[in-house]
This record gives sequence, C-alpha cells and structure tokens, in this order.
Amino acid sequence: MQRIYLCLAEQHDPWLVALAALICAVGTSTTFVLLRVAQLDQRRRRGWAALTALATGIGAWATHFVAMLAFAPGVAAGYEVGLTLASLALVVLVCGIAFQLGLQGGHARQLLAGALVGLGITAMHYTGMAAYQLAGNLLWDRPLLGLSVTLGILLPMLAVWIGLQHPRRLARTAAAGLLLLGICALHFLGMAAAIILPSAEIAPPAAPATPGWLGAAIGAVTGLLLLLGLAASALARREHRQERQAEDRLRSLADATVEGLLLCAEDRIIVSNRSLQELLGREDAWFAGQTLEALLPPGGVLPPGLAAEGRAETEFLAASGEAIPVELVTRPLATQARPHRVVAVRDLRDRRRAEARIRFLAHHDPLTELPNRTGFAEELGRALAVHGRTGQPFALLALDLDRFKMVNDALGHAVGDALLVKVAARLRAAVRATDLVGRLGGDEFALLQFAPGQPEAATAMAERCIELLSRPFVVQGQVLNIGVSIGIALCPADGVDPATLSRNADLALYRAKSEGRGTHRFFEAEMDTRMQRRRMLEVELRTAVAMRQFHLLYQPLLALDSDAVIGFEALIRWSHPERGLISPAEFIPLAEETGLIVQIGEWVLREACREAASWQQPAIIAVNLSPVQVRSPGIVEAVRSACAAAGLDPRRLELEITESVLLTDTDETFRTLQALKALGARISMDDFGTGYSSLSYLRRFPFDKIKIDRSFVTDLAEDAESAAIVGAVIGLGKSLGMVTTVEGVETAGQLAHVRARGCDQVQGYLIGRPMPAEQVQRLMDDKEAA
Amino acid sequence: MAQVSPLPGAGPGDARHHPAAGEGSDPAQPIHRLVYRSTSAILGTEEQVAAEVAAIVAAARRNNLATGLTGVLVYSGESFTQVLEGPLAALEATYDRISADLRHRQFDLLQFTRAPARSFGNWELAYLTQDALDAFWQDGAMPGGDPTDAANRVLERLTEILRPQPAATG
Repeated sequence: MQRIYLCLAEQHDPWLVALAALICAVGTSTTFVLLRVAQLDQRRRRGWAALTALATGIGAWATHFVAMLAFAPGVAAGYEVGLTLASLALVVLVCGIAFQLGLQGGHARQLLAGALVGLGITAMHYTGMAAYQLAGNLLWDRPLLGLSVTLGILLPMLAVWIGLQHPRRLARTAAAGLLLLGICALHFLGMAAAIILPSAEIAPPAAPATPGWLGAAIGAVTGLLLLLGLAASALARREHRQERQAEDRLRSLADATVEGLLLCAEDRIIVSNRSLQELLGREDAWFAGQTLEALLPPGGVLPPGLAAEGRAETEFLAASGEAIPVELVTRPLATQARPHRVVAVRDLRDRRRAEARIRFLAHHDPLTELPNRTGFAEELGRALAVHGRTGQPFALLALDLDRFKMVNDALGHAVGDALLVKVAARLRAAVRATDLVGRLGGDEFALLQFAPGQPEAATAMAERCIELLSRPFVVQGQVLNIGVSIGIALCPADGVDPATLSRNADLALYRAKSEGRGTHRFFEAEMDTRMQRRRMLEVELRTAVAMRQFHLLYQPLLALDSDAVIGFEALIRWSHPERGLISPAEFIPLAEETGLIVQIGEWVLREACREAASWQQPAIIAVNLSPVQVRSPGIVEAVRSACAAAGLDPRRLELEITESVLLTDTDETFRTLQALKALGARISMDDFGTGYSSLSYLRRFPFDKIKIDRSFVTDLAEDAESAAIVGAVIGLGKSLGMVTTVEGVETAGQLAHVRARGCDQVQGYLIGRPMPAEQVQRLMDDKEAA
Repeated sequence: MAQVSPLPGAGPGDARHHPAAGEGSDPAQPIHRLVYRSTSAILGTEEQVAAEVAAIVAAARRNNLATGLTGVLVYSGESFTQVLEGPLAALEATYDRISADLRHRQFDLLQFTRAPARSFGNWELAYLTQDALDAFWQDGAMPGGDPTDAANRVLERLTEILRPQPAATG
C-alpha cells in the first residue's frame, strides 16, 4: 500500500491525474450511452458498436497518456511513436470485437465481451508501457502487477455486463463508474508496480517524444472524445425523451379508455388506469401490489371462468362501500418475461339499471307505476302458490271505473290519464301494505287482499275503495265525479287457479255493474250458470243468424177515422230447432250487447220491405230499430238499400225507435234520424211514457208519430191518472202535429175510450194479433170487402 | 264569541301573517278555493282524538306555509269543515291528499272554484273548535241542501268570525 501511496503522492502531478480521471469519466460514460443506443437501434448496430469501441479505446488511451504525463520518474523519458499508436489501434480493435459480441445478448456473451474489453485496455496499457523509453531499468513488482491486470480485466467485465443487462440510467452510470474504476486501477496499480532504476549505461531515448507533440495529440484525441461524448449524450437524451413520450402516450391511452384497466404480473396488480381509479374511488398507489381478490366485497370469490384469459361477471367494492357490478375481461400479455395479463373492468351499473327498468316496464303500467296485467297475473300466481303451500286465503277484487269513459271522451286523454294516476293513489290509500293494487288496462284495476276473516275483510276493503273513488276528483281545476264497481272472488272458495278466480271476479263485477254500479258483489255460483246460459245463447244466436232461424210476424194497425187497417208492425220471432220459440225479450238484449243486432236488424228491414212490397195495398210497414243499430254507421244505407232492393216506396216505411236512442250522443243521433227522414221514411217514438219521456226530445226532433206504451192502456178504465196521461199525450201529439197511436188495445171499452180522446191509430189484440205473412193479405182484403 | 284554538304553539289570536298571502302576494297568481265537509272517522278516547286532530292541524299548517295555502278548519268533535285557498297546483295536490284520507267519512266537496281573492289571507290555517262552533251553527250555517249555497254560507260565517280584530287578539 505504501508503494501505491508513494507512487501517487510523490511521483504524479495531481492536476494532471485529475485531468486523466476526467477524460476517463467522459470516455466511460460515452461508452455506455452509445452502447444503449446500439442496443435500441438494431439496424445500425455494427456502426454503433464500432463507434462505442472508438470511444472506449480513445478514452482509455488518452487517460493512459495524460496519466503518464503526470508521472515524473526522475529520469529522462520518451515514447516510441509506432508502439504508442499501435496500442491505440489494439484497444479500439479488441473493444470493437467485444461489443459486437456483447450486443448479441445473453449473459455469457455479455460477460465475455466485458472480459475482452478489460483485456484490450490492459493490453493497451502495457503496450504503452513498452513504448515508454527512459534512461534506466524498468523492473516490476509482481504481486502489484498481477493485481493491476486482474482488476483491469474483472472490473470492465462487470461494468459491460451491467451496462448491457440494465437499460436504466442508474445502472448505466454505475457501469460507467465501474469501468472508470477498472481503468484507473489498472493504470495506477501498474504504475506502482513499475520500479525504475536509473542507469547511466542506458542512453536517453533516441527519439524521445516531446511533451509538445504528445500534448497536441492528446488534446486532439480528447477533443474528439468530448465531441463523441456530447453527441452520445444528445442521442441519449433524445432516446430518453422518446421513451418517455411513448410511455406517456400509452399512459394517456390507458387513462382515456372508458373501461377500467389493470395490469397484473401473475396475481399482483402493477398499475391501474384512471377510469378504474374513478370507478372505485381509489388512488393508483392503492392498487399496486394488491391481488384481484382484494377488490371484491368481503367474502367474495373470483369467478372461476377468469384464468389467464376469459370473461366473467362479479362485483368490486368501491372505497365508498358500494358493491359495483362489473364484467372482467382478461388477456395475457405476451411481451413480458413473467406472465402478465391485462384485466379490463367494465362497469355494469348502467346496464343493470336498464335491465331493471325493462323488467319493471314489462310488469308495470308506466302511467300509474302499478303492476300491469302481466305483473298482476304473476302476483296472482304467486299468491296461489303460497296458498297451495300454507293454505293462506286471499281475495281477488276486480274493479271497473264508472263513467270514466265519459270523462276521457269529453275532456281528452291528458285529463283521463291524470285522473287514472289519482285513482291509483286513492286505491293505494285504501289497501294495506301487504295488499296489492294492479292496473289491468284502461279503467280496469284489480286488488289482491291477503287477510283472514273473509268475506268481511274483502267487504270492508271494497267499501273503502268505493267510498274513496266516489269522492270527487279535481284534475286541472275541474271537478270530476266517477265511481267504481267491484266484483270479488275468494280463494279457495271461488277457485284455486288463476283462470277460474279471475273469471269469477269478473262475473261478480258484471253483476255489480248491472245492478246499479258504485257497489260491490261477491261471486255466487248462480252467476256462473247464468253466464253460461248466456254464453250458450250467444253461440246459438250466431247460429240462428247463419241458419236463418228468424221469421217475422205482422201486427195490424187500425186507423180510427176510417176504421181501416192501414199498416202492420213487423215483429221478429226466433224458432229454435230444439227450444221452440224464443222471446225477443230474451235474445234482443244479448244481440244488442254482442252487436249481432246490426246483422239481425238488417235482415228484418230487408224481409219486411220485401214482404210489404208484395202487398196489393200500399199499407204502412213499421220496423223497430235498436239503439245499437241507430248508432251503427251503415244504418242509413241499410234502410235505403232495403227499400231499393224490395222496390218499396220509402214513404211506406215507419221506423220505430225508443227514447233510449236519444239518451246518448244526441248530435250524431239526430243527424242519423234526419238522414233517415230525408229518405222519405217516417220516424216514430215507440213506448212513449216508460222512460224519461222528456218532452225536450219531442221538441228537438220532429217525430212523425208517438206510440203510447201499452202499460197505460191496461188500466185505462179504472185508473183516472192513466186516462189523464193518455189524454194529455194525445193532446200533445195533436198540437205538435204528430200522429198518436195507442198500443195494447184489448177490449172494446179501451177502444171506445181512446177513440173518444181523439187518438189517431190503435194497435192490439182487439184489432189483431201478430200474424204470419200469408194472413196479412187476406186480412186486408177482408177488411176492404167489409 | 268565536275563539281561535288553544293548540300548543298556536295560541289564541294566532293570526300569523302568512308570507305568501298578505297584500304582498303575487296578484297575477290566480286563487282557487275549496270547501269540504266530512264526518270524522278518528277513533279513540277524547285525548287521543284531540292529539290526532292537533297533529293534523300542525301538519296542515306546515304544508300550507310551504305551499302558499291559507284557510280555516272547523272541527266539531264529529265533523270537519274546511276552507282552503291558494294557487291551483298546491291546492289540487293538498286536495289529493285530503280526499285519499280515510280519517274522513261521508266526504262532501261543496266547492272547488276560482276565487276573486283570498278570504283568509292572514291564516295559514285558522282552527275553530266547539266553542266557536256554537255561534257558527246557530245561524243555520249548518251545510246542507245545495252545495254551492252551503259553501257560501260557510264562507260568509267564517269570514265574519275570523275578521281581523287586532285589538281583541293577543
């Protein structure tokens, strides 16, 4: 150690030593910067390797010779030029070979390359020493010489290996430092090992290299080295910037991705993107090092379908504590040595919300948000299932609003809809939390009541509903009065399957409606039989239309002024193949309800007109029109074509309507009646005195005839009030210019009475019963003959 | 004479000036008024019933203050008679609530109409009890017959009873 110290402290100029170290540092750092560039720029690797070798060689060589300048051996010294230059060529050449080798990769090649670099530098140093000529003998301290060579090879070997293995700047600096250390160790240990014995026998060097040319050479070489260094660091900076940019671009791409992204090495998370951080409300730092399991809610298990590659749904726990449904898509990452994978995290909340909304809409009425028909049917099924398991009874209530259609038609759908919303609110107020309200459509609602103690509980609830819905509603400042009719079926008494229960509740509702509305009815088995009978009748009625099972009878009409039969009223009869004659009172209401009346009525018109056209006398033919017929759009055309087809003068046709025709939608009805009258037909008010008998009808439409109902005639003799009414109506007809007919005249006394009152025409058994067509002509002929 | 209820926090002469109802209220905002009568279906002991009615009045006052309604409630122990007035939307919403309430029975809406002005603009909800009612019913103000007549009689009597009497209250 003492030798080394003495060598450095006493035989060297410290300023020049420092300069040598600086040159060496520039050389070594340039080496590793260029080496990194050579690694990245595959295409021009040979060129970069050569340049690196140049930098390494020149750096080492210049270090050597500046350090030699710092050395003062105490004797005259000089340099042999040829060997001096050869040493430079040698180191550059060896380093060039070494870097070509090391850049091919692999630990062995890299270590070998490092060793070669060390060897080249060592060779350069000792060749340089051989070029050193001085006036004396040069002896070597062998151990120190060995140490110098060993370190001179080992340290560069290590440095090059590190520099090639680790691309980062820190590793590069360390490698440059190691190489610097290696060169310095080689040189100064080598100088300490050199023992110079001055000898007079040895002549001073023949052609000593003067410090002048050496200085110039070193200056030039150092300049070159500095230029190389500067160029290399500029390249390094650019390369670094590009790497950073590429990394930033990748980062912003990942952050801009709407989906959450995780990069995992094996099971550990390395990095996350911003979307995921925002989704879970956590910082990037929180994710690093976590396992995927750590993102699950407590007790959560990763879905099995999610290995290295796959797709699965699970939940992640956000920092807020919310469990967020997510879909995970995993892909392996091939570029890395260790198994890496990217996990894409898709937030499923929106989709789940949309799915829930769709489910809700499929089962609910969007207006009132009550279960719709589908939703209610499901609940009914559930209630029946519960009943099957536990025997729990329940009540099904079918509700139908009274007068809702009128409100809707008169005030528009917007008001109707607002009203339905308020109806729903009141129904919710009428039931308990365990009960269920549904809207089946239009103004139909339904309730499920889960309560023991039936039928009292259902009665109470129905009464609550009726009371609440009979209170006035206020919609947009308008007071609206509606009501509700309710039919109730009980499970299990009235059925244990949805179809039977619903049908029975509907039957009860039908009864409630037909018995005055604003009330409730329980299902009774008798309703079922009646309904079945009705349904059978309906089927038979359709058959009757098809099979022409109807025929007409004609009842004569007597004019009191001439005592002549001046016409006939056509009356329909249905002869059922098995049940015989069926009364019109039984089938006409059903025909009206089902709309079959339009077809039947048309047949009656045609048949009556055809028959009347065949009569020899131009007698009146009277045909009844049902309110349904009058409201049907084709009625005017039906009458016109019936007359035309039969060749009947429409002025012989009398159309009888009841005042119920006028009860609804009067404007349209009056237009129809006017059109019928315009054809030439006469219009009679039938059954006058039985309904409202509002005189305003008589004023609003110019009827040709009033037919006073038979009920007044029956007790004409005994009942002074009936007599007064009949007299008054006859008088009214006269003053309005309308013909009056009294129906149901059965006795001579009745006939005398109405004749005395000034009645125009009579009809009844006294005059003639309804008779088949073939008797009509005979009757007229007889009367004429009489 | 007529007395305003001694409810907790709403003592006699509790003519709190209503922020939305005084002379400063928006004159462009049309006023609607409703009058109804109903039979009380509140069950329980006298104290329980009184407590429930007090709760109803308190809740109604809060709601009225918030929605700009004014009015008066008469409770006889058997029946309610109430006049409410204010902007249509608020009045309709409050009516929806009242009319769906099963604590009323035999609910009878006597009037729901546009009104030229508020009659009880100083009262977020004046509350009249039995004492006041003796005078109230005496003059045949008991509603009955034609709803509009009944509503008018109620209004007439109530405005008379509740006419501001600054010297007499407090």
